[in-house]
Amino acid sequence: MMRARVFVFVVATLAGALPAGAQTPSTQPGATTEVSERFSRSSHLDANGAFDLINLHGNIVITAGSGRDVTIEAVKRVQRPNPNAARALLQTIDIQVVEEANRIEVRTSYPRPRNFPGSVDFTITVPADATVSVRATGGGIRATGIRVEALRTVAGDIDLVDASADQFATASAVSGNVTVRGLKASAIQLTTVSGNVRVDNSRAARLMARAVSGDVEYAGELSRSGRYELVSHSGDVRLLLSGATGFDVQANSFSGTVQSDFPITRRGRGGEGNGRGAATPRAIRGAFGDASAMLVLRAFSGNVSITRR
Amino acid sequence: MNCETYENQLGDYVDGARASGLPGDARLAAFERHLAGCARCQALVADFTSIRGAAARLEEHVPPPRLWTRVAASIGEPQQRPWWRRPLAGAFPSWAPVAVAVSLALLIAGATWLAWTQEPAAAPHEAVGAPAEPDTAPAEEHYEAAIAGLEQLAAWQDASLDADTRAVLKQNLAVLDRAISESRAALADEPADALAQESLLDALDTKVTLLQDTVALAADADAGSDDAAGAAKELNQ
Repeated sequence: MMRARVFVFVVATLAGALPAGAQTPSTQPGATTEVSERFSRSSHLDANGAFDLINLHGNIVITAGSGRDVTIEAVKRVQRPNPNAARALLQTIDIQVVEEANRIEVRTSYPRPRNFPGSVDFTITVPADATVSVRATGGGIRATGIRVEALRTVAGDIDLVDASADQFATASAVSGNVTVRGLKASAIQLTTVSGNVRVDNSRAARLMARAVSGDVEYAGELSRSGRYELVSHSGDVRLLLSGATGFDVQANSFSGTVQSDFPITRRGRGGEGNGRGAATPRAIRGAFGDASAMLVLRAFSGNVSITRR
Repeated sequence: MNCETYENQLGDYVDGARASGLPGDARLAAFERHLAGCARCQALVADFTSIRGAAARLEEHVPPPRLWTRVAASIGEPQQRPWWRRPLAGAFPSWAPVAVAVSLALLIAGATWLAWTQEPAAAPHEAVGAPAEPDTAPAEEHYEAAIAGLEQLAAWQDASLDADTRAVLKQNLAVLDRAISESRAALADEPADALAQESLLDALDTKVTLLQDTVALAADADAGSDDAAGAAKELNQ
């Protein structure tokens, strides 16, 4: 049952309403004035709570901290030729913070019309055991040390460093790179349409990494019994492996090449036998070592490679 | 006794059990006596034995990681989440029938795709002389239906998104359309190529996802912008 202590703060950003709301105008080249305003809040979050953020435009930096508080530092910005209009528009950006004992939700909202000339940059610290979910429209997301559930942006890069997830972690961009280092989760899903996906030194029982027009790269050790699916349509798919985990592999490219540094015991219609991947330029099916991990590597017009790191 | 009486014993018999004369095998012994004079049960034993043998020879199919990640994702969608963490659901209840229709189309497409992927697939470029691969047309039709529905939703919501976001989404839909076209062209040249088939379905699947995200984004923008709309319209001149 939800605890009775529920506070809802709707931060009406009227002039002077914010303690950290000093407006800072600055003139940009081309006679555009940028007006900015700081927003600050700190809220307690119970153990294993959840932190959720929706932002429209602006960059987001989230870091895991040692305390039990969520600290939110934000800078709202508006750029307009007319300084008075810029100041007035700044007041229409709302940062809504909904606090519950085990969940904090933050959401920015802008008014119509849609081509709003503003943005909000966030710098956030969350407890290390908080589960984080972020959805952004325009802007990058950089998260370090957090327990991640989902990071999504339309236009911007995602950098996820030394994070973990109890079960399922996902990061997706439409136009941007998705870079993950040191992520530990049961299942990881990373996707982008126009951008690259790179996974470095991460551990998961299941990994799906997918791009349409960019490259997909996995570097590091394979988990025993792990399943890895790396797919790109027109980009390259690269596996840079360290460690001694064996794997079963299905690697294909329609019009690119497929090559492996590892001696693959081939199977399929061609029969069994030892051979280098280069012997079959567009497809390798077979096993290396104990075949304990499963790899599905696929590119349509890009190249597929499995190399030693 | 009629044949139905021996259903359990028939299964055991096919699995290799034979009456040993011990008291516990009395029903199995009775079945064996029945079997000796029953053409129907003899035919059933022959069929089941054949099926059992064929099943034992089947190659093990391991579900692709993508399937697992989607199952895991769907498991993690409990109702106690705030509405804005649930894609589509609750954001615009008046469109629920459309969303249900789209979901059904996707479900059918997913089922079709799964059925397709369960077929033993030849490795790409090893298909010469092999039986033709299953046709992707049924799955394509369902994807196209889902895409048409989502495009309609996205068009209705188009004005809710800012110009930059609309441009990014449009550019990336064009990227996906190119991928779809390239895959279709490849299939025209090599209809049995498994990789071309999978690339086509991948691209269609990604387009569906992107359109779903577009609709959800627009719903988010609508939900977050109503309050201050009037004042800003005058200010943003």
